[in-house]
Formats: sequence, C-alpha cells, structure tokens
Amino acid sequence: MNQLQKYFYPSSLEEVLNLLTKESTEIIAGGTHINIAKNQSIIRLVDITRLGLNSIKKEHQTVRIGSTTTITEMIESLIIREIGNGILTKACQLIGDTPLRNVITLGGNIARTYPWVGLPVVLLALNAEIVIMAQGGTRKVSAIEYFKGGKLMRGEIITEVIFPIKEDYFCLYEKFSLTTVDYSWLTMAFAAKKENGRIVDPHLAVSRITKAQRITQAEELLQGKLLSALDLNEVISKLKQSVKVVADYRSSKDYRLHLLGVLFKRILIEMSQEADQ
Amino acid sequence: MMREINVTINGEAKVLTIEPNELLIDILRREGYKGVKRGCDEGTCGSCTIILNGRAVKTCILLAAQAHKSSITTIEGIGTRDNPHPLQQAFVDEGTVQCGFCIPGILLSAKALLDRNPSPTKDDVKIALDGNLCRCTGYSGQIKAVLKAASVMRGGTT
Repeated sequence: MNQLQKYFYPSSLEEVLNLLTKESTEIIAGGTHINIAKNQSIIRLVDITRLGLNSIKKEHQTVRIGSTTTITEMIESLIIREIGNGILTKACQLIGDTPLRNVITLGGNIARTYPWVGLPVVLLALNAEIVIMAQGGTRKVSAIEYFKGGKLMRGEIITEVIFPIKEDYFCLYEKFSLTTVDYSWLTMAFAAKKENGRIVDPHLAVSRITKAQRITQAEELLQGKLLSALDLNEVISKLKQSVKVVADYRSSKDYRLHLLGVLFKRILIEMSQEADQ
Repeated sequence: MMREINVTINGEAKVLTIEPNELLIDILRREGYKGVKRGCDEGTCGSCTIILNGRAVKTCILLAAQAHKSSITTIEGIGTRDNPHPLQQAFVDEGTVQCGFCIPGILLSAKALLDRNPSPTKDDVKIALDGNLCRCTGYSGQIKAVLKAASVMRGGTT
C-alpha cells in the first residue's frame, strides 16, 4: 500500500459516510485482506472498529450482529449459538485460525466476496438480511439479492446482519479443505424443516466451487419429499447438473463435483437420522 | 504522511511515529522488540504473533495504525532468562524447542489462552495454537507444556 497517505479514526457513522465519498478511500476493520492484497490504489483508510458496531442483540425471532463483531466474539456468544441450532457458530469455528479469527469480522467476510470465505453460504441458507448504510439512507438487502449483485457501491458501509433464529429448522454447515487452516475448497450450508419425516422449505447454498448462491433446482426437488424414501442418487445427480463449477488449478471439475455430491449426501443422511429420533 | 499512535507495550506507555502504510511487525522490531519474528509475512505461520488487547494476533498482516490506543504484549514482556514465565519454564522442561523461531509466537498464543481460561482442556490448547506452525519438534510436547504450565499457574503440582 505504497500510496496510502491517511488513516482515519472516525467517531461516528456520519463521519464514516462523509469520508467514504472521497476517491480511493476504503474501509478497514480486521484488515487481513487489505494488508495481504497490498492494494496500490488505496490512498485513505477509514477504521470502523471504534464505533461500537460489534453488538449482538436478540430481537424477537432474530439476532442482529454488528458488522465489526470479530469471528472470535461470535464463537463466544451464547446468543449466536441459538441461530440455526449452532450453524453460525460452527461456520465461525472453521474460519482460519485463532489469531486470524481474533481480527476477521463478520462484515469483512461479506463486504468483499472472496470465494474462499465461509459465511456467505450461511447467510444464504438462513435468509439473513444485510443492513447497508449510505449518505442517502439505510437499506436492507436479502442475502440472496446481495450475493447475486455482488458488491457494495461506493460510499456504502455494512452496519449489521440480521439472522433469523430458525430454531425449528435442521441446519448444517460443511467446509472442505486439505488442512484446518487451508483455504476452503468447498463450503455448503443447508437449512430445512422436518415435518412428519418430510423435508419442508429446504434452503441449500454452495460456494467456492461456484459463486456463492442458492441451488434452487435441488431445493425444488427436495421440497415435500419423505426423507426415508429419498432417492439420494437422483438428488445428487440433479445437484451436480445445477451447479456451474468455476475453474480452479488445484483440482479438476469432476473431482469437485464429486466432493459436492459426497458432502450433500452426508447432510441428507444426517438429517434423516435426526428425523428418526 | 507521518502520524503518531499511542500504545502501551509490555506495560510501558509509548508514543510512536509511523507512516500509515507501515505494518505493526516492522514498527515493533524497529522499537527493539526483536522477539516478534518475521516468518511467512502473509498471516500464515504465526511467528510474528503478539497479544493485542488480550487477544493473540499476527502482526505481519496488521497495520501499525490499527493498534492505536491499544495494549500490546510481546515475548519481552512475559519473562526473563533469570525469571522465566511458567509457560517458558514448561517449554524448557518438556524439550519443546529446537530452532526456536516459532516459540515466541506460540508462547504468546498460549498466554492469551491461559489469561482467559486457566483450566483449558487439551482441545482448547490445540485450538489456541492452531495459528502457529512449528517445523522442528512438532506439537505434542508443546501442548503438554501448556497444560503443565496451566497447572503450575493454578498452584498445582506438575
């Protein structure tokens, strides 16, 4: 960051929004990817970690998490364990390593949509809402819409994410990587209700082998199906057809599609076993 | 453009003059805290780990400006050759050190754990040390040493 000339510690959101209107200005919170990227175009950095945007509040059937909450703070939060029967806590535990989790923030994980990050699939599977502030006002965007469009616009800041608790849903997160601290090869999150042994309202999100997205074709196939009579091969084959795999020099598309099938099969088997109890 | 940051390093209040694009590892080493080791320089190996406001962090991927108004602990602040910290003594006793380059970072990750959790399980220790790579002696002795130090610090016998 040879061009970097100024580092600001704003004391209010108004001040942040004002600073963000200037060119070549970026937000910094944990800073892990800004520092790694050695971005040459950034002239001003705006530190948003001193604004109290790290609160975790339970409100009706939702939990509102401030964008600068660190992954470690999220893991330690008892309220967050209630979300999707612990799916968000588990996804957080599988991010990076302890010193990285101590600085990486919720907002940073979704503000720049790097393919290897872990949380987008959880937001997608739970139908979370992202609260984005700009000088013109505040907007709430569904995770589906946000990850479809991709990026924040200039002058915008993510202030919080609203997660539905979904306590009556079966939720599971899967991440595949070669070692616990390696970049992920595939991340997947699934949420669905079990009613009389049937799958109801299934949400399946996949990332890393494709752009973070919901796989609606697979969801439609699963909707209303009896878990005990599920044709796993049919589901997996439909899933593989529905995912457009991006190139990755580390492994072939066939390998990653196979991986996708294996991980989702595990999720469905675990769900059917849970339904039997 | 130069600016000043206020930090407390090992209990001593300091005012440091920095450039906004300087990394925390560079500033600390320039100030003489050579126990902050430069390894991978990309946030992987953990040899540059310090404790920042009670949490272990990697200084090669933090800007020095991010540490403004923070409290920092480096290896120089936790013990001396004559009066080692129980963690340092346990690492010696268990023979966990060969080349030693990763050890300051590992000790600080372990200290950050014990400061919050004086009675960790083996899994707690493994998770706390998961950001620190060692390529000489391996991890089993280190994990044993941390558990031993925890016991000593609780006033128990080893």
